[in-house]
Amino acid sequence: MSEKMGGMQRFKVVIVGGGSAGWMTAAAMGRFLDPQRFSIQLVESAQIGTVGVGEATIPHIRQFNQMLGIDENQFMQATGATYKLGIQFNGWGSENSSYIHPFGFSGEDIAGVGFHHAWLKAKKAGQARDFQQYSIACQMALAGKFQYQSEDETSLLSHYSYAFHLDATQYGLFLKQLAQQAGVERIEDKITSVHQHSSGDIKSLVLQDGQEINGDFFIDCSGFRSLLVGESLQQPFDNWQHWLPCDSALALATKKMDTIVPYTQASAHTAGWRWRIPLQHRTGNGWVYASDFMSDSSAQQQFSEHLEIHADKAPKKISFVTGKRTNSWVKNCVAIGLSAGFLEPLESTSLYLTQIAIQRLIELFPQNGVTDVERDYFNRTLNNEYLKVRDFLILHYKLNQRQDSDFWRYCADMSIPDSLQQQMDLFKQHACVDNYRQGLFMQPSWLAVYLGQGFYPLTDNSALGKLSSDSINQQLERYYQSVQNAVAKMPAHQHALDATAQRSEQSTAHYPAVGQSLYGRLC
Amino acid sequence: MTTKQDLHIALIGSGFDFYAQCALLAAELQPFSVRISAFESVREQPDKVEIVGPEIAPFCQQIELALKTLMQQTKAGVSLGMQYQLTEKSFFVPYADYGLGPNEEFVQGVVKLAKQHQDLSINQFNLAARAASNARFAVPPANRTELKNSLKFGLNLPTKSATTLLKQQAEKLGVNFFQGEAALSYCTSNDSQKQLDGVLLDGQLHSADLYLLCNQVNGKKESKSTWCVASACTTIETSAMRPYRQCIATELGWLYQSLYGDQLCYQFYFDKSSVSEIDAAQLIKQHSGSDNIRFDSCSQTQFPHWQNNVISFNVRQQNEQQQCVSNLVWLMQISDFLSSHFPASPNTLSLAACFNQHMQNIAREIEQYYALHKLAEVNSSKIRSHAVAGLYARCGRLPQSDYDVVSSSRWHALLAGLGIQPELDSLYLQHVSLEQLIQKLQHLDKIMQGIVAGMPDYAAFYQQLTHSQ
Ligand SMILES: Cc1cc2nc3c(=O)[nH]c(=O)nc-3n(C[C@H](O)[C@H](O)[C@H](O)COP(=O)(O)OP(=O)(O)OC[C@H]3O[C@@H](n4cnc5c(N)ncnc54)[C@H](O)[C@@H]3O)c2cc1C
Repeated sequence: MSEKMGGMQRFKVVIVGGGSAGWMTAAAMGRFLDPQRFSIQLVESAQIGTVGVGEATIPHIRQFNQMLGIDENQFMQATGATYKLGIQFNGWGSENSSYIHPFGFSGEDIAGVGFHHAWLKAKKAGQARDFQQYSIACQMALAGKFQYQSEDETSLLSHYSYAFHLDATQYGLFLKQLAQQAGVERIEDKITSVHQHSSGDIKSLVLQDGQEINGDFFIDCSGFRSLLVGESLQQPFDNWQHWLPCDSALALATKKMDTIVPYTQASAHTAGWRWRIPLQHRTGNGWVYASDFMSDSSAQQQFSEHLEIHADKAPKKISFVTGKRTNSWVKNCVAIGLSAGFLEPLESTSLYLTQIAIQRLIELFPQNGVTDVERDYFNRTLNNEYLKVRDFLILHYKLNQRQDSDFWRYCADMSIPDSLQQQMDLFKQHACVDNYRQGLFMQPSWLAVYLGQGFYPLTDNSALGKLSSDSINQQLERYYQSVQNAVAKMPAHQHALDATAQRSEQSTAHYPAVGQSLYGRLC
Repeated sequence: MTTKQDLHIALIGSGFDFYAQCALLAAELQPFSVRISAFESVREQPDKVEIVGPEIAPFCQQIELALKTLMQQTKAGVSLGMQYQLTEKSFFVPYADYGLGPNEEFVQGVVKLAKQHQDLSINQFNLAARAASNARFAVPPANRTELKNSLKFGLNLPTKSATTLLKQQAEKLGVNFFQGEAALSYCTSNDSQKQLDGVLLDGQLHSADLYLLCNQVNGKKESKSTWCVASACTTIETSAMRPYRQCIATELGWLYQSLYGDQLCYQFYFDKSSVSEIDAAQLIKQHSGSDNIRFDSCSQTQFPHWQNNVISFNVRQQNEQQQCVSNLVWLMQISDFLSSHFPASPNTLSLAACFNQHMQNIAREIEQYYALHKLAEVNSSKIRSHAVAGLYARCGRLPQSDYDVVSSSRWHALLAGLGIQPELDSLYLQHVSLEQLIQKLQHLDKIMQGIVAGMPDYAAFYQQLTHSQ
């Protein structure tokens, strides 16, 4: 199976699929696998195409890019990227509510006690501003400002981080170039059948033109179809639709916004939500819905009514089932990207899950054939990642206070996983979040959604009993003022984008190194 | 002055862990409206040694006690790690990190090189291990932040003086102590629904919102264990002082050695059903020369458990696991949990469930490390069936830890000491040639050599520390 190069057997890695997941994987493998020892091939089919969405990211993507040695300024130019400081959720609590889930936190500890306790106390006394008014990331987003965060941990300007909105197709092409430069061989054809060894391991892929592609190790990035892990290896799918009921999306690009905002918008509608993702050259729009609660035609009609900018084209319809393969790594094949699972685009976590799978795979890469050790460990850690994201996504639906449709009533009434129930009980009873280190979403994220959607603790925490209300209010106000002052001095988002474009031409790196993300632990 | 809102926490117990927990909770919960009462059953503190790891530095910081004061006043012994003297191998497991400063793939690089150069040991690139093997020691100066993690150390503390100091500190932090044999008064007799309604002392019932039973039997009959520990201390010459502990294989089992002041203490854990007390005493005597041997029974460390309004942590009796991870780690986890999950309502069901889950996970991490430590004498095929060792042996990776109760450097050192070499090299180092690695490591070797050469002998350090009070 392995092929010879200069007398040496090369271990053959075959990647199926050339969507974002395929090219992210190929670029990373190309960078870290020694071409003397490994050959990498990627098979993709223009006939089938890619899903073509996936444009909002979370800050971890910066780490991935830096790991690949990508210059951030050049990446932004190549992908038409804009900065992203968070997601604005409209109509998720009550119909008229709006909050931002920022990449950063609100306020800072008061007398050694978490800021949110102080805020809750002040809120009860009717003296607090909106929780997001104490978040620098939220205020920057709303003011349309952007500047890199500070690396000085004592500075208010270190209380946030950033991600990007990017053109998924361009990102794919960018990575493709990188991968091919690193020696990844691209094969354009449709895979018509898959051969397995008697052990069940994948042996080869047969293409439409009859060519047979052998491999030692296969990476299934074939999208929703999950050609290898799902179809050939018959790995079961854990269906989570009863918790995450949206199963359809319409996607459509419109022209760029007049003022490009540095945040994603996720606005609830009667049977799901719609997104708006601002890029430099266009705007991504989407209508996500549960087909049990809204017909395709109704979705189409409402989507076009809600588009802020008129579009000539018809939207692209995408159907999906939320859930994941029980195990992503089966036999000598690992599923990465949509073939491993898809939860919901709501928190832009899909590319993160792809990234984390790639990084874990590099750490554990079976350089001389697969053993149970790395496979089991990979599956265990990835499983945990999916579960953490799953619970956080369900939270958004569960906490809605809308009574305007069957969909939202269903979501409010649905039973939820025990792990999420425990987390919510903890907040309801004690105003605290059970923090974990492995997996996405730390306390600031949980707080943003809880408080943003009007989910408050039952009891007042006596924690701040020692501090007088006046003293708390003064500190809250002081922090708010410092946020306002800092944001006022920042350049507009567009200005930051122009500066990035200039730096990209001069190819001078000038962006913060990746550190600990405020949003979730970096791997 | 306390207000109506104050949460009242009562601690009941005795011993080092009890006083440490009192001080810690008082310090950690300072920002909250909390009143802390401590009911101490006064017992003569035994002449024992309390072994604590590098958690002692953050612990002292938390309870606002200068580490130097603790070291001086207790004449604590410094421990940079554990020296294993086993039947067929000897190796050192330092507490401190490898390399100087943060470097994710550092150990992977050394391991990769060590495959080609059999004489290369990863401990060559651990400052603490080098200091230990040269019997040198210095506390890194505050301005050398890069050395902080490279010279992490634990302490061997004499129980008596450490306990006195901790109690004083707890009092300073506002803990209200009550002395006497306190009895626990339960609302229900049903064991599974046990709800404490107060502590009875001298005919008076003291009620609290939350009770912490530290080293208390808590009504339950302790399971009889056949395990016990024999210990003795002996005076040694200053010049023989070493800044590390030892684990020595003997024909009967492992003998642990730790030093405080000029006292070298030996501990031998044994199962009475297979080793007699006479044999155990003889073994200790043979090594220490002392006739003054104490026997204490051992029990399994029951990890902290929260039920209704009671958190119990029963570690009154010693056990061998504490040679790997000290009780202080547990105490810090408890206070950390309570300060980040401060009980805001009397309904603590969700909090207790969360607490118990965390403690169970921590116990699992500790148990895994202890199990590997105990496998040190075993052949390598058995070692590989250990989950962490198996993963390391294959990919050179450690499983992600949620708590870091055992640092990755200790895992790496123990695994390397057991002779496990990862089968696969790190792909992240694909572009770093062996020559580049050699160059970098040679440079580091020189720097470390210089730093260690500049350190005083441990004996001199100790003399200076105890004479500069
Ligand atoms: C509505 C929606 C919105 C989303 N929004 C976001 C977001 O905002 N942020 C985010 O991070 N993620 C988002 N995602 C997820 C994101 O789009 C995907 O994670 C990402 O695009 C990766 O997809 P993929 O490469 O796994 O699959 P695809 O893009 O579907 O690629 C599959 C590849 O496999 C090839 N292939 C399949 N079968 C064969 C065959 N038989 N022979 C040869 N080749 C074959 C295809 O040609 C294609 O190249 C969203 C997803 C959806 C559905």
